[in-house]
Amino acid sequence: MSLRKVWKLLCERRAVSVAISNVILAGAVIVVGFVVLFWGQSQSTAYNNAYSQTMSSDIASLQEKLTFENVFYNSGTTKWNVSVYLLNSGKINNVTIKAVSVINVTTGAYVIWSSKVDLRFFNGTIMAKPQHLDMTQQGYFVLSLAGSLKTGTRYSVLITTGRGSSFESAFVA
Amino acid sequence: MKALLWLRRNIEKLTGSSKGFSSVIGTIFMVLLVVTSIAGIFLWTLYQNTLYNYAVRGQNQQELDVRNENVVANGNYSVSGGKVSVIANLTNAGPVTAQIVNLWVFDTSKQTYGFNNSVANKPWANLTWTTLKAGQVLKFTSGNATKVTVPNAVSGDSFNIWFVTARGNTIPLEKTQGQGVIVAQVAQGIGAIAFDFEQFWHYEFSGTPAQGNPLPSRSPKNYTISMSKYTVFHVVVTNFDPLGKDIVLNGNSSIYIICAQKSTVKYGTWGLVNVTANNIYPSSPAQYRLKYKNTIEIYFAGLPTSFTGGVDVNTAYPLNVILLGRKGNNDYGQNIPFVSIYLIS
Repeated sequence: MSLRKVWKLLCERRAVSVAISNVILAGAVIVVGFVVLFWGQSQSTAYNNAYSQTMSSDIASLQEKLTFENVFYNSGTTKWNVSVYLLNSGKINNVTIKAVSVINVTTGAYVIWSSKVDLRFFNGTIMAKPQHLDMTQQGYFVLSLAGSLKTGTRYSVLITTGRGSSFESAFVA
Repeated sequence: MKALLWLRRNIEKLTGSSKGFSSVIGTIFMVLLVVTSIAGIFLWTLYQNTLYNYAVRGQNQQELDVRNENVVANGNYSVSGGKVSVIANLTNAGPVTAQIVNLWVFDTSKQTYGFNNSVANKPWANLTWTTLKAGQVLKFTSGNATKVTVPNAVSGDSFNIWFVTARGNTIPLEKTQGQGVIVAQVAQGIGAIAFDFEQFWHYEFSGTPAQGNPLPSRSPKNYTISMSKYTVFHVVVTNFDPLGKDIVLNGNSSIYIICAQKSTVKYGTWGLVNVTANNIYPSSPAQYRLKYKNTIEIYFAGLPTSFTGGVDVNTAYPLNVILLGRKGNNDYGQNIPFVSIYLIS
């Protein structure tokens, strides 16, 4: 470009506003484009994370399995309790027990609703917190009842784990 | 031909002029960006679904293995001192390997229970876990019976016994008819104390022995008794009490023989005496503790004075082993009348 042309561009004011507006418009488009891009990126990352967590949770829940080795109702004169002996026969560690319910199978009435329990090893020692059962590990807990159960009636113990799985076993008092 | 010319003209127009070229590149760039982003999400979702499918497949396989696991337990049990000894043959009749993790015994009579989860670590099985391959048989014989402590359990009680596998299956013990049941039934029929005929013999002294005198050699003829000798009867008894209680025999226990002398009924008694380390203590009060399922030797001795005036000798007479004492907190008495003797002068 010759010097005359440069001088002409600087001195003459015609079409300058068009160039400026084009620059502003292009800048705005770029900024908005990047905002939209980052927003889309963060949205997709959030979706990926949420989906991944849901899948992991579902898979973990699927791999959980608790086996009831024995459910024993002890009817005393002043104290009544139900001992539940468990085995983690699933394919995942850290199975926690969130709540336990005891239900009268005949009437559907809850004897115990969503009770928290203290897990013990089979030798009687209480497990350190957070209490959990690893694979092939055995443990038990004792539920204290407010009153006696009806002899000969069928009851069920419903266990809800920390991952949301449910396991149920019936016994006759 | 016309279409070809039109395409050529347009391509020349597009490449010959740079007007609008940046818009095309921008559009392509934007499309690529969007496609990459969507493809990333899609592939990630696909990957997560694959993981889930793997987990579902694994879970299905596990369920299938649980259903296919087929272990059969045949055997029996005996109870002694609150301990239930389980003797069983575990046969893996299924196609998958099984692991035994626990043995449960539930006393339905007393509503008590016990378990033995060290069944998994049997040194004799040379296994870290009691693992049963398909078709394998694992024998819990009397030498390596698995013992489970069940509070207050006795042989007369009814038991439910089951094994637990690592997959969560329970295997009930299918009981074979054993000697334990027969013994219990016999004991209930004739009394808690069983008498061993094979080990019934006696020792003879010419006169009453002093305290601590050693026993002589046993008389060669077990069932021939001299009425003129001081006789020490050796009797072996076992406590098979169906309730599993200990029995204490006191000094009222005796051996009693009903004899005759010219049609007149006479009798002779031999009282319970202490014999310790093969030495007899005829003057000391005797007492024997017979624990449940235990076998002990007891001794009866004396020179029956009631035979005064003589009895018909060279005659066979019935002998009664009279056992008196306490069983648990109650009195107990039993007469074992099944021995015959031949009385000589």
